[in-house]
Amino acid sequence: MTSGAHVRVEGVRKSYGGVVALAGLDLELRPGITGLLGPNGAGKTTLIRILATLLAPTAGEVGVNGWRASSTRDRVEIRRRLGYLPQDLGLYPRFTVFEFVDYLAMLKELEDPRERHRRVRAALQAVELEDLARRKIRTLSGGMRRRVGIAQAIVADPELLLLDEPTTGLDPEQRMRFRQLIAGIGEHRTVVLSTHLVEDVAAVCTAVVVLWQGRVRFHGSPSQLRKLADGQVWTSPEDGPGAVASWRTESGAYRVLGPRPSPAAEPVAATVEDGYLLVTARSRKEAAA
Amino acid sequence: MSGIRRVEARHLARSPLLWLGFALGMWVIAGSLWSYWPSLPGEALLAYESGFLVSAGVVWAGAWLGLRDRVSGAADLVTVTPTAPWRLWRARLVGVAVVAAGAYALVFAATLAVSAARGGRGMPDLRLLADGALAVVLSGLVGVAVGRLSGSRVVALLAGPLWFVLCMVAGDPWGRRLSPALVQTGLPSAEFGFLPDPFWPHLGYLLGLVLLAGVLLLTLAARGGGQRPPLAPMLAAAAAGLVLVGMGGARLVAFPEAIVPLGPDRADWKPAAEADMVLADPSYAYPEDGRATACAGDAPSVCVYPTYGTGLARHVHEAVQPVAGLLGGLPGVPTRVRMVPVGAAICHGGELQMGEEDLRLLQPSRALAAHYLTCALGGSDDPELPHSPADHSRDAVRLWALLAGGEMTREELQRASDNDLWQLGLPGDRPPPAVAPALAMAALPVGQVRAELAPIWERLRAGTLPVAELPGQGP
Repeated sequence: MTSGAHVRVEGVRKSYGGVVALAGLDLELRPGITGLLGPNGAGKTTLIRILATLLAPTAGEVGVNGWRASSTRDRVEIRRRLGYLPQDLGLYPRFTVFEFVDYLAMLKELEDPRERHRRVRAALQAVELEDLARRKIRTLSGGMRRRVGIAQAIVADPELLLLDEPTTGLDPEQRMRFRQLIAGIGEHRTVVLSTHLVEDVAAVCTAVVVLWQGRVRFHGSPSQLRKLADGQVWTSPEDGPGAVASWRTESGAYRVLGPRPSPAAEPVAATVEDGYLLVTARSRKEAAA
Repeated sequence: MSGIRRVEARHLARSPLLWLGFALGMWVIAGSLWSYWPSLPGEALLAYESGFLVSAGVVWAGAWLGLRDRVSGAADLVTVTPTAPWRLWRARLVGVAVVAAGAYALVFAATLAVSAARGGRGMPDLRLLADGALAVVLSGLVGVAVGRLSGSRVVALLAGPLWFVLCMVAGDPWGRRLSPALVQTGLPSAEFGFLPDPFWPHLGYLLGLVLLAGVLLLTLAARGGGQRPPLAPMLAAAAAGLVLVGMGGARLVAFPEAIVPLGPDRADWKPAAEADMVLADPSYAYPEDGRATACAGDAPSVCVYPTYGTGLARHVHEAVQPVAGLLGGLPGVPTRVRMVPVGAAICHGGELQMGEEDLRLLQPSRALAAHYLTCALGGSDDPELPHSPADHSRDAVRLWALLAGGEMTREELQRASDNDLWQLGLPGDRPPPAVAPALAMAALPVGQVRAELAPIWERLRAGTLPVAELPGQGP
């Protein structure tokens, strides 16, 4: 069994015309599951696409196991170790599920048909699509298509798995199974999971990167992110004026993130989402200052 | 990459667009197939010219393949694989080529199978299979290029019909020669082949185009990807393509538009313009060359090229025998009908020479009999030639013979004469004045008419006999 990839992102900048998507990123990703969090436009997808060798950075370098993405020869080596699920997933509608995953497996240099077919079946089983293997892709629902995308990403047992919004369109049960699947893969592989869903990150990630306006605002474990909010989460009968975020809960009380909103407020345990909200709020404040 | 080739070929083979082109080709072929006496060389050409309709479907299917990654949004998934884009596209193009050639080969084989089942004989020119297959393969590559370069569904949709129109509606001879599918001006001769024979240079020309299109598409695939195909084979293929296109194209444009064999020797094969002058001479006749050896019947005997077999000779004999029997033994009445490579009908020395194409065309027996009678009576089928009142005598006898020979009924003749004799499908365009005397003769016993015609026959053939002197015209 191969091990996960060691990914180094050094001074990566990416700009589209005058718009800076990534502003000099330095990251080191090791085997395990890294969650990539950030608001819309933070640069998550740009970073994933650069890691996937689809985009060349304006400056800086990405290395995977010592191979440089800027080198044509090295890029092929990186791609040999890569599984990728894009945010905007496109599939061949006239192919069957099996044909499509098999097609991508061929492009991933799985030459031996018997072994390749075994792996395709295993990948489809992992995403619970084995019963739909002969169905035309055009007949599948959005969630099923997403699972086809996940199957093609994992079919070649990649050392580096890049997943951009993988749980979009999945129902809660499928999301739970997806988490189980990714957790298993992440034991030995490097998985980068870009998502809006903090609960996905909290559930399976061993590391979290929070991006904000193309910069890394946090890089640590989910528990470290959660700890940032320790002592700053309250349940209160009234909303606090200086709150980072607050919302009314089912009981009628407010859950407040920030300084103690009132003497009547009671402290509650922080979550990873609280930590994430705190990081983005601080980033926003710093930017405004 | 063999797996990719197989998958692409399998999907292309299931493309409804491809099968639309296939069905169109077969439909056109089926429409023409029963118009001709079956012969494998003739049907091979029919398959070649009509089978090219497959190319419209192949262009469509190729264009959708060229668009597929972009339109489906799967381009990213394909790009992040270690397979070099040019390798992927090479496999895809091979898949396209296999299916395109296969679809055309299927049209070709089906056409020949039907011909063989109808009794078609002879050796088809297999260059028509190779040339057509290359043309259809080229159309597939053009389709892929259109899809890749345009990225537009609308353009892809229009590509098939446009391609076909471009290939077929080439205005001048050069354009026709340089189009992927050669459009022949006439059927080839089973004995003489194609005159001129453009197929060897055209095969080279097409092969060159296929190579150039392949090189272009692989270069396009490698663009921006970083992984480039090996330079030496690409350069070699491009150079070979240029040489083949240049040399083949130069040979093709240098050919005359058509060559007509005025005799069996190559020295007698003339460009069409020169041959037309010779053929316009009424004294011209195609020399005896011993090629029409499949014969049937007697008085007259009918001889055709062996490719068509005695079946065609019997068919023609059955058509002309009823009228020939009425006039047998009279001076100038042909005793032989012979297939020749030129002209529609030449009458010379007691022989009716009929062009291969005309004889192969399944004309109504009435038309064949009328050709025979025109020769027997020494007249002309040509409606453009001026005719004297005396010509009505010949026309009347011709119409009588057709009536007496059972080729048409009195009612048909009467009905047609009220409108236009063309309705009877007869060669020539004579006015109704011949109809009444013909009907009058038909009212007499055949033996009596025959006996009364004998003494006036020479004057009738010379065109100097007035209608009033025909049998049954007396007071």
